[in-house]
This record gives sequence, structure tokens and C-alpha cells, in this order.
Amino acid sequence: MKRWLRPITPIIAALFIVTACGGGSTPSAAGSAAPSAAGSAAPSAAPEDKELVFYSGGDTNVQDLHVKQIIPAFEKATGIKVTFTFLEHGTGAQGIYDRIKAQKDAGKTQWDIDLWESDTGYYTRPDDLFLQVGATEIPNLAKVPKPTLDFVQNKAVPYRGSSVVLAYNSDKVANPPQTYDDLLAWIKANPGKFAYNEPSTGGSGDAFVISMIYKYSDYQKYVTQPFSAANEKDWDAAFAALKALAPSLYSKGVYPKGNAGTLDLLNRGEIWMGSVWSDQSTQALAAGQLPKSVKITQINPAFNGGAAYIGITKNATHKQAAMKYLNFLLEPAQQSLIVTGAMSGYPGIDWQYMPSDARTRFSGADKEYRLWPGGTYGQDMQRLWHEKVAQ
Amino acid sequence: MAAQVPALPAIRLSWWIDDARIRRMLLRLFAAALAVFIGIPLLTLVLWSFAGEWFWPNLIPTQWSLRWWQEVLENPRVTNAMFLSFTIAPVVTLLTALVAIPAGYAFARLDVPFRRTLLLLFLIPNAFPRIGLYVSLAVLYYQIGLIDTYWGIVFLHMIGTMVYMTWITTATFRSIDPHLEEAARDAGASPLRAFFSVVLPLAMPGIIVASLFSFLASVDEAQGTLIVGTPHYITMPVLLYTLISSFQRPVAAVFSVLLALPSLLLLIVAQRYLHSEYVAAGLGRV
Amino acid sequence: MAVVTSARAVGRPRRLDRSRAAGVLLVLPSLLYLTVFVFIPVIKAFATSFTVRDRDDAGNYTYRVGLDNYNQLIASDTLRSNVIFTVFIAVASVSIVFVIAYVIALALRFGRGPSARFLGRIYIVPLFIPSVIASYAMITFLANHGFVDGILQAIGLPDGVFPKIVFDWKGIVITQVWLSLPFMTVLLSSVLLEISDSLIESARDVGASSWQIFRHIVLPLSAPGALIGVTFIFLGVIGGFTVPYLLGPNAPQMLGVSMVYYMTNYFEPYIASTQAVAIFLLSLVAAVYYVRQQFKREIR
Repeated sequence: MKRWLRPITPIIAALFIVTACGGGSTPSAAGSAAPSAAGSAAPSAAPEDKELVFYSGGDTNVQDLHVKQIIPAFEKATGIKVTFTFLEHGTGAQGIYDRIKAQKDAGKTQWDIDLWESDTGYYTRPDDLFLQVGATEIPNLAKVPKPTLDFVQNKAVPYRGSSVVLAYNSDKVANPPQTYDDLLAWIKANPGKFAYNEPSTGGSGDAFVISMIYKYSDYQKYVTQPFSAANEKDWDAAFAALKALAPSLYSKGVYPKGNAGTLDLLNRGEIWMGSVWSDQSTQALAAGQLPKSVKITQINPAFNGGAAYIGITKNATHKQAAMKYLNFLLEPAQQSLIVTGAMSGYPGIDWQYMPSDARTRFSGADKEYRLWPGGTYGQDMQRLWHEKVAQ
Repeated sequence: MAAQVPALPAIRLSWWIDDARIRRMLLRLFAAALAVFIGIPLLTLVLWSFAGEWFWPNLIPTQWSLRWWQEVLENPRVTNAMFLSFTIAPVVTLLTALVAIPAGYAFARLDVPFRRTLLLLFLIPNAFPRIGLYVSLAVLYYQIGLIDTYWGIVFLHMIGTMVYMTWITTATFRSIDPHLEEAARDAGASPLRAFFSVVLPLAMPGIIVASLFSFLASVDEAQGTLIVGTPHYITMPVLLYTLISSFQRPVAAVFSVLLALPSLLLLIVAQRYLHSEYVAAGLGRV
Repeated sequence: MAVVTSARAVGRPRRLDRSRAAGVLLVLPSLLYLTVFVFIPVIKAFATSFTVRDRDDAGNYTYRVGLDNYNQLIASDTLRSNVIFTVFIAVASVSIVFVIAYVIALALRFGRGPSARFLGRIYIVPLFIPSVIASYAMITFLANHGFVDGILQAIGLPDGVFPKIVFDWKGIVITQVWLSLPFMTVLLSSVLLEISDSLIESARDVGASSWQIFRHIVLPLSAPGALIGVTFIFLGVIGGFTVPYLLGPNAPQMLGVSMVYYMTNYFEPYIASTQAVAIFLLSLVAAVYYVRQQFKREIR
């Protein structure tokens, strides 16, 4: 899901390579980096991996989670050294993908990237670059709800999640709307007090639009069937409804830029309600960046959300270490860090396995969320929104 | 005979321009308005950087705080980014100067084939939207291994600085009397010596103006650096750009002040050279 | 002078050849740089704009060569209004900054006294402020419920009456004027410097009013140089991204912003390239004028 990964910066490079991590002064040509002697290619009965190469991207809280909490604990527990490279705000994802693909195309049997955390859509691309895993390889996968694994055909491991929720100023709004239709009625009754951000700039705005699409189109078509441009015919009604809603929105139809834009308006009291990310808003509340009067809730049917995944590359040099890392990450102890820590995410494993203090963190926001396939639908949704709704 | 009505003196609509007092008053108003237009937006940013709490409709923060400054200055990414920005800029300027000053001299003095076409070509970096260039450049960098390297960023910044350097130095050199140079040569100096001891000193004001524009262009560059510099080379404007998304206004405000301060210091230093006479010399009375 | 020149030409004919070779050599490094980093990407962009990508119902792509992208630029309501919007903003920004800068330049040239000196110090400030910061400052300054709105309401303006400036074309124009002011003023100042005092004085001696002097002497003499500044600023505004992105409306968008959205969000790199070429062609019109003016002045 490209939620954090689409903040204000709309510039994403066409192609990148990132210099070898850990000091990076010599640029490496794609696919030529030879892994060190340790680590074997054979998936089982091999000398233990002593190293792990892990690439990630997103917002700083993701970086902090791995760098400050998970990796030190992992290294201490297993003695495996993790080389971690982080890409700022989602830039460079396509470049890393291309780098992995270049190694496959060159016929290499040991690839220089073991783990990659990035947009969900990458793992299921037909290029088949990622390893399918199950509970045999990673025991804790048994704790992960099956739908989230099915969503990526088991080619990546969901280790945290979040969804878009409704944030409201409890001083001004005594009873927040319970359903999407209630929300639409509320917006019309309280003109200028609701905002959702421009869809291309932040996922929380996308979610509002997606809910409208799901109102006029069958949800199942999007999550169970492959892409079909014919489904987009249903969207005309949704966009017409969104356009009709515009005069009741903030400043008669100004859509702030980025998830932060909505939060900014909420923070300054310009709006009383907005669609926001569960983790972003919870973090902000915890850090005192949003007033205590702001609360979050989920409506029914829920806004969309999803898990964040980490995938093991198909011919990773250090497969064993990679699987160990993911298994470690799925332990309830580490999952608690995700829920109760600064990350404020949903766990990757099912809630029933979580300790009780973690379970109460998100009471108020329904833990259910709907899915959105993204990909071509996502690109079209953003473009068509701009053509039909923006003014 | 009808009484002769004395003709009224023709009243020009522009009578007020000649009245010195009115002119002075208008000028004063204009200067005040400009001061507000230029200064106040910057002032509000400074206020935001110290704002502990500032909600509408208060005109100044209700609570003052240094906590944002602390937060930002303690962040090592900030100091790294500032260091990078202000060390890359002089390198870029120097490199551009080394490449563009000879070209400027050649365009001004020597017989360069297709001179006019070439000069027009040199304008293309400004005519084509930079973003389009940057994305293509990223592809190229990937192929030749310049992605995420110091020199990759330097070469990219040079796109923006090349135009200033070339055109301004061309105009500068053209405005220098060629006889001075000839006189030096006739006195026995080699062309190189004539250039360094006669022409270059005379061209200095123009070169300094061009270097100033180049330096500032490099400091300002965000879009391209974001694309080719991640993840290891983050400059100040890139950091600011990604932070403007932070809904903590004071944080972005602090960044802005931090980024603007060195530039403003440069302004004070450069005041001397920005007098019209120097610039006229520099632009060769464009 | 003519004698000297011909004597030199006769006496040392080889100097011309050496000058030519030297000329080429000196220009080569910068030319090489520009070829690799600018000209080749531009040519690639042109080529890409003629690549048309079709998509079938299942989402599979096929490619062919054609003019469809350009057709879309004209036919699509969104894209067409983006083009018109871009030109409008550029023309508006340039016109306004020209007037303001001219007043400042006149004051610097002919004015005496503290106001003129003050203007001389202050107009250059925006040059030293990066565009991101300037945009951000303008947002806090001119937003609804921003600084100016606050002051106006404190003296009685009702809430909601303050016009929408930020997230509107007005915000873009105002910020571009703010940012372009130093360069334009500097240029106009240097142009006005060429007009000698004696010319003005002799005009005064025959009784011309200030307005007449301006209208018939200053303005025409400064026009070529001034228009060069105008075209330079025009180039900058037309292809701009930062300011329209931060301050502009959700729709229509300036081409620079739209181009980036098509490239990165909608995954339409071919349409994006077409928009880049469109910006380039619009700029080229201005650029050619700039260069011709420059060469005309060189003849002096």
C-alpha cells in the first residue's frame, strides 16, 4: 500500500540504484555485487547465515522501528548481522525492484538483497521475484490471518497494518457518524467542516474516494477478480456524487495536499472531521501534536486499509536469516512494539495472539478494514478524480 | 461679438508626476508597501518557528517556545543536510565557472562556428521544464552509476547554473574594450597572460554576479536532488520539501529559517556587488 | 580603427584560424556537458511523446507510434485547461512583476532621498530566499485564516469574506511576482543606467514633462532590454513546479505540476513527456525572441 509512500513529494524517480549499504561511496552496477562467502543458496541443511541484507522504505517511524528496536534485539538473539538500507519517503522503490529484476534476468543464483519492504503491488508482479512462504518455513505465519497472506499470494509477510479511520473533534461533534451514508449526510449538514486530501498526495484521501466507489460498485469485483477496465464504468456515479459533495467541503472544495494536510486542518480547528491514517493520527495524539479533543473511530462499511509487507527475494543469498528475521518480527513481543510503540500500527498477526495491553490501544477504531487492490485501478482512480471532481 | 471665453489651460492627466511633493509621498507609500510585501511573509515564518501554540484568530502566538528549534537542531539529519547544501553549492559554482567562463570568453571574443545557434542552445536548460530533464537524467545515472553519488548531484545542479554563467560572462566579456587586451598583447604578453592580468580583473564584477546567481540556484535545487540523491545525499531543500508535509508548522518554519539564514548572510556580504553599476557591467548592459 | 583591423588581418592572417580553433576548444567542455545532461534527455522526451500506449480491458499494454498524445493535449478538457492556465499564469506574473520592477528601477535611477535608497536595499531580498521557503511563507501569510486575514478581521472584516488566494491562481501569481522581483529589477536598473542624464536634461530643457520624458524617451530606449528580462522570467514561470504545486488549486494545474502527476501517480509517462514538450515549445517562442533581441543589441 502506498500510503506513507505518497506524501507531498510526488516525484518518484523512474529508476535508481542505491549504492551498497554501509558507507556507499562506490556505486555498484546492477547485479554485480558478489555476496560475501557466508550464506548459501541452498534453502535447507546449509551452514548458518551470518548476515542479512534488508532494504526498506517509508516514513521515519518505520526506519526507527527496525533500526532502534527490532534489529538490535534480533542481532542479540541470533548473532546475525543485519545490513539495513532505508529509502526516504518511498523514493527509489522502482529502482530497487529493477535492481532485483536485473539479477534475475542476468541469471544470478544469489541475489544481493534478501529482504525488501515496499509497496504491496510489487510482490505479485508477473516477474516472480519473491519467494512464496508458509508456516513450514516461518512458523509464526500460522498466527497471521489468512486473507492478508492470500492478498499477496503468500509472496510476502504482513508484519504490521493500518487503516484509514475517521478523526473527529469531540468538542464539536458529540456523536460521530456510524456509516458512510451518515457521514455524507453530516458533511452536507455541516458545510466547510470536513476535508479529505487530494487523492494523489496521500492515502487517507484516497480512502474517502474509494469508499464512494465501493458505494456504487461491487466490492467483491475488486478483491476477488483481476483487473478489468469495464468495472470502471461504475465509477461515473461515484465521481458525480463526489463532485456534488464539493460545495459542502472545506473552503467549498479545497483538497489539502498529503495526509498531513488533513491533520493540519484538524489541528488548527479549521475542520471538525477528516479521514486520517490510524497510525499517523494515533502517533500524533500520543506525541501531543493533536489536541486531546481529537478522537478516532471507524465507520461501517470501513474505510480501506491494509498490511505492510516484507518479501524475501526468490534467490536471496541469506534465505535462512531472512526467514528467521521475519519469524522474529511476528513474535507477539515484537508485534507489541509495533502496536504500543511509536509505530501505532495494527499487528501482522491476529489480535487474539496479542497481549491484552496491546489489544486496548485501538479500541474505538474497528479493527476491520476493507481492501483496495491499488495498481492500475489506483492510477486510474487518481487520474479520473482529477478530471471529474477537482475544481 | 461674443465674449471671448478664456481658454482653460489643458490639464494633463499626468500632472502629478511633476509635483515633487506628491511624487515623494507616493514613493514613500510604495516603499512601505513593498517592505510589507517582501518582509512580512518572512516575518510570519520566523514567528511560527517560535510558536509554542498559535491558533486562529490570534495574530501572534499565544505561547512562545524554543522546543521546535531544539527538536530540529538536535536532529543530525538537519546538520548533515545543511552541511551538504552549503558545501555542494560552492563546488557547483566553481565547476560551472571553470567550464562556462572559457565558453563565455570564446563567445565574446573568438570566432566560434554557429555562434548564434550555440548561444540559443545554451538557453535550453531554462526552456525545457527541469523536472522532465531530471527524470530522464535519473535513467541515465542508473546506467552509468551516478545515482546516489556526490558528483551525480553536482552535475545535476550544474544544469541550472550553466545558463547564468555562460550568458552573463559572455555579456561581461563583450563589454570589455577589446583594445585593452590588444594593447597587452602588443606589449608582448601571451594571450593567456593578457587574459589573466587584463581581462579577468575587469570581468570580475560580472563573474561575481554570475557566481552569486549560480550559488543561489544550487542551494535552491530540490526536485532533481531528491530524485538522484536519495537515500544517502539529502540536501537542505530536499529535507525541507519532504518536511513541508509535516503538519507541524513550526518544524517547517524552523527549517525555512535555517535554510534562509546563510543565504541572507550572503546577501549582506554581496550587497556591495549588487549595485546597479556592477550588475550593468556584469550583464554587459544587456 | 578600420586601419588597425585590416593591418592586423593582413599582417597575421593565421590568427583567425587559431581563433576559430581556440573558440571551439573553449566552448567544447560546456557543450559536451549540455549535450549529455540536457540535449539528449530533451530529444528522448520528444521521442517518448510520440509513443502511444493503448490499454485493453484486462490491463495489458501495447505500444505504437502516433500523434494521439498531442491530440489528447488539445482534446481532453483537463489537459487543455491546464495549457491555458499555464499560459495565463505566466503572462499575468510577468506583466505584474514588470510594472512593479519598473517603478523600483525608475526610483533607483532617478530618485533621491531615503525612500529610493531603502528600495535599493530591500528589493533584492527575495533573491536569497529559496522558492520552497517563499511558497511556504506566502501560505502562512495569505491563507484563509492566515496572517493577513487575521489582521483584516481584527479591524472588522467579517469571517469568510477574505478571498481565496492560496490554493488559487492568485497565490501562484503573487508568489511568482515576489520571487521574480529582484531579477527583473536588477535587469531594468541596468537598462535604465544606459540612458544618459544629459539626454534627460536636454529633454527637460525643451519643456517636456516627466510623463512625456518617460513615455517618449525612457520607455522606448529601455524596451529591448526590458523585454529580455520579461522573456527570461516567462521561461521560469511557465515550467515551474514548486510554487504552483504548493500554492495552486487542485484543478486546473500548471503543466509542470500536471506533468509530474501523470508521470508518477497516474503512470502515464508518455502523456507526461508530451506535456514537457508542450512547455518546451511555449518557452521556445519566448526564448527565440530573447536571443534575437540579444543579437540585435550586439550589433551596437
